[in-house]
Amino acid sequence: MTYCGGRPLNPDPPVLNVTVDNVYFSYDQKLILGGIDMRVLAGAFVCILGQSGCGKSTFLRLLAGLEQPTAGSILVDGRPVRKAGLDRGMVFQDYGLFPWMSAGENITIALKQKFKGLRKAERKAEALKKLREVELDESCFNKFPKELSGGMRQRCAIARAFAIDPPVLLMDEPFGALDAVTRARLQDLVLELWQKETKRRKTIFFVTHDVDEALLLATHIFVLGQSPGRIIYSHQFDGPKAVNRESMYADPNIVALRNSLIRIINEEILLKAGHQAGAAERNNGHGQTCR
Amino acid sequence: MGKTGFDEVKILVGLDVSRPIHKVKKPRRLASKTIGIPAIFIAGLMSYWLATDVFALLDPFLYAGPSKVLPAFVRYFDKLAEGLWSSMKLLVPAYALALGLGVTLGVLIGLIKPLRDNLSPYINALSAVPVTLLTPFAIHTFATFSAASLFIIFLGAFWPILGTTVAGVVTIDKRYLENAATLEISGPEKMFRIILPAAAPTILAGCSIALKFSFILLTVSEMFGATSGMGFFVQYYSDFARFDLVLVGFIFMALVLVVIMYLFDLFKNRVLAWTLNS
Repeated sequence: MTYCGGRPLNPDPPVLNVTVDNVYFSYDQKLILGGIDMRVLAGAFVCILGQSGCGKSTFLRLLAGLEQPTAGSILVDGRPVRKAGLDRGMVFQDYGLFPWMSAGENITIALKQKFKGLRKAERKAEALKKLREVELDESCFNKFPKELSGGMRQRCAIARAFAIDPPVLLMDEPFGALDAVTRARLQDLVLELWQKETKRRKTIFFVTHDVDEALLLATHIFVLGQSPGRIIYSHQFDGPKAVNRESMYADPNIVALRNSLIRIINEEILLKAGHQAGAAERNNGHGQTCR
Repeated sequence: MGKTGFDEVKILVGLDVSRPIHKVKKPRRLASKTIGIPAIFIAGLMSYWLATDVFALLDPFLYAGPSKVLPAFVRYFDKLAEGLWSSMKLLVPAYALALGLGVTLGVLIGLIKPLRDNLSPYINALSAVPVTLLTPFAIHTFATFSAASLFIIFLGAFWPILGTTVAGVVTIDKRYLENAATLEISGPEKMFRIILPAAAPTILAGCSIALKFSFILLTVSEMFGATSGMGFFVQYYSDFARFDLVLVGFIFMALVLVVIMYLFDLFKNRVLAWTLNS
């Protein structure tokens, strides 16, 4: 439960499950997503793996309500998603913070939206607390995003996402632009923040193209294939998972899973390349007949 | 300490590795960075002085030398200061009105696509009409001369502000609006904390152009709508062919504009402190 000044901010927030039912999405006559089904129980950490351009970010935008499916439905806690809302927090790869607001204001504006009764001083205190939780000190509060490093900006975006305490959190390759060390530290941080809420963990959808990142974070992994995007593989971790990055690969099951995930993704790339080569060949052949 | 591989790269790209990194050059004081301002002023003044008072290269009837202009500037300063006050009584309300209406309508037109699609040809057509040509219409339409003057200045400032506000709002990165949507930011909060700040760099560029336009139109509007003022001063002495005093008036107006633009830039730098270039 989130507390501020001794009283609960959000006494009984729901923990929501998400149902994706045969979702299709096309853009400019091109089919981007072709029939996605997903049942995700509350508190799951879902990693969506796939190569660039497979539609995984589009899928997240549908969950966020920034786009509407062409066919099928997305239900959050049984209610269809019609527009973006505070019940589904979003962390973007970039452009997550408003550059004209200080890091602190970026959080307080979100708190103002979510907790209407909160006074200004309370919002500031809560924002500072959230910044500390992501290991940013108070001096960051008044800094503009341009004055922070990429890692610090993403910490701030995570602080904001957790500050509004959404039951569902959507993260679109949040660490895609970061260096390896910062990336590892932030992965641990997200896991810590997510695990800290033992009773009502957020349902997280995390889009990535990094197999190791997915193995470390996920309780569920879905692999999206390309053109159109559809689920070609899914895996659910049963029981407690070794989430420590050192011990993770001591588990032969994880190593086997890693290998098969890489194989599946590579096969998909080769298949697509093969299709393209085939199409080119057919075009050439066609050209020859004409001659 | 021996050179590392990285040092060699730095030598290749022209970075001197022999100099310790912590020995950073002290930032120069502002005064020495803007040394060009007095230097250009002095050089310009000297050239003009040589071309007029010293060698009489320019027609003395039109181009009065500093020996005539500077004393006249001092002698007429009271009149110029009085003119400044009455000009401001025209400029400030006209500019404020242009700013208020330009930004409000610009945001609406920028946000509402059907409105934009239907109004754009009219905005383009009307903003191309030289405002000075509207003077007789303004005098005829408005009850007083000062109202007509106000309208002329207003119109000159209004079009650039409207145009840039529309452009600024239209070009806001969609991702910021989506970000705002996920936080359910709407209404006045969205207007004042998302849309206006995001469009501010473009809007303020328009405001700066509008400020200069309003000064140009001040002279035009004070031709008929005033009995004193900076524009009136220039116009009045121009009619008597007192070009030394016209020059005095120009210099005074230029000084006022420089001060106003300086204050405007201070404000702009404060508002746009978040942009990458500042």
